[in-house]
Amino acid sequence: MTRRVPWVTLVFVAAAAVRALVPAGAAALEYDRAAVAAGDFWRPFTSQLVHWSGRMAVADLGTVLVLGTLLERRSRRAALLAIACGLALAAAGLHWLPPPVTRYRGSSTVASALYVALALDLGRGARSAAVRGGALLAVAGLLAKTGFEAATGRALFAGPMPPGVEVLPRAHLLGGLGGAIGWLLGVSAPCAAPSGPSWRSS
Amino acid sequence: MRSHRFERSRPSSPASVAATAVLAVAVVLAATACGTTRQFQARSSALEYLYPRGVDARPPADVTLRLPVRVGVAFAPVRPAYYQDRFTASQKQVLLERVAAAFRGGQGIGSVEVIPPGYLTLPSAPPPGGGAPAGGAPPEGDGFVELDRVKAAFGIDLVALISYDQMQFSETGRSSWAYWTIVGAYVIKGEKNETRTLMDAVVYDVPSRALLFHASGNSTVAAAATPIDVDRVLRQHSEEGFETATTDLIANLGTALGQFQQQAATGTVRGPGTPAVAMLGPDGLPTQGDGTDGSGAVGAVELAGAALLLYLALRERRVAAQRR
Repeated sequence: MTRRVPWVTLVFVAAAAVRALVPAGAAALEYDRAAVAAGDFWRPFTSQLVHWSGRMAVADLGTVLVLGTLLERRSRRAALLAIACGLALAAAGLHWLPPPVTRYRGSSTVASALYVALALDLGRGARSAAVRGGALLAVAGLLAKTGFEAATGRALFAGPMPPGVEVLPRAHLLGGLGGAIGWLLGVSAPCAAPSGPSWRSS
Repeated sequence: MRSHRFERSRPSSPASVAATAVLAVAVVLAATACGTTRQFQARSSALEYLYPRGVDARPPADVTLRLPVRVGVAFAPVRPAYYQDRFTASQKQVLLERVAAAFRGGQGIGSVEVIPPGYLTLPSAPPPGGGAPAGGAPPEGDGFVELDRVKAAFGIDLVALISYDQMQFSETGRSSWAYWTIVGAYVIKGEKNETRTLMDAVVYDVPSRALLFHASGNSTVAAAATPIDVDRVLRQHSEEGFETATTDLIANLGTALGQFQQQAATGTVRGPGTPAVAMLGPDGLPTQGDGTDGSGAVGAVELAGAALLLYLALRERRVAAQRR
């Protein structure tokens, strides 16, 4: 793991944290179905910067900070592609997949993308079977959790939500899928420079 | 033994006589206290406010909700007879703010206004044989007459009326009896107290008088205290009871609101036989009614997975460093 500063992660977390400390402005950044249809194309992406509650912001951004720092230090390219692909897939799913979503807030798409990409990166470059098994277990746990939520319509260990707000499993599933695609693109591209343990020859 | 020391004193001396008299009085007092059950009750009732006795209840009409709706949150007024109400106006204001904050940001909710305690008053019963109430008397009729005025003043569509019922039960036990007679009432905790609090919120559409949904929260606080501390402890338990019951109420209100939204999408307030409900958007056109507000919340599973990945990354790093 190199000592590079995880700028992408830090900028994202700082922007979302500043936004969380300023009460105004959340409505302009959240995903709003009607507003997107009227032309506010940025909302599916900026919705990752706003949260329904302070508790939710702390949990989401803390997870993004840890996972993003770990992955970006291994490969900034993989982190960037994972986030981009996760956001693109989740934005499309948010707007076009049924059932319709009126509004959306939360950074868990980015967190899921980084989560899956980091697990794959750790598993691929691992020198021990325990680390590979652990990475596989982490991905399996996320898949099982979101699968359960999608099948039952009930959130699992998500904490309290404001009235009328439901946890959206598809945001996690599509974010994770995007993270896997982004990571694959990152490691398979010819120009991908070895930057972490997963690219080093052992 | 303390009783042994008492037996050694001479019964003929004035000091002994005084001690005996004091002890006898203390024993009588303790025996009285032992059998005493003290109860404090604080309550308000939305039902009593909206549908007072002697006033014919008008059936609710069909509901038309223009989204986003404006909601008022208030405590149902307290009948003055309940003079032992430990629930102060400032406490009520704080809890109303908590409930209002929980409502804000919810799907289809535009604004939430806190209606200060004291704005609502219990309507007086109609005088026998009709006639207007005396000057300065509370308004006659049902509570909806007053809610119509509050609706106009605060610009609200819905009102969430919160009722409460808190019972504080205090009874002295054997240990309290012993220390009352010998040591003193404030040395060792011996009095068992229990505070039970029930809070209930009913959400009405004011124009149609239709009950949309309701939720409740409750709490039980039990602890021991010295008799001399009872009042202070009961006050603390009263506050704690209201706080905990409000937290429970807020969580259940969220669930009830979600269920109402699902139910309303089918066209009625609470199923067949209940008032019809139509939801209109800001443009006055019917809303689809099937959209939800979504949240991308990281939960315990993701946090545990992230911790696992962090551990694996650090372990991998350590192994790599050792091999170099």
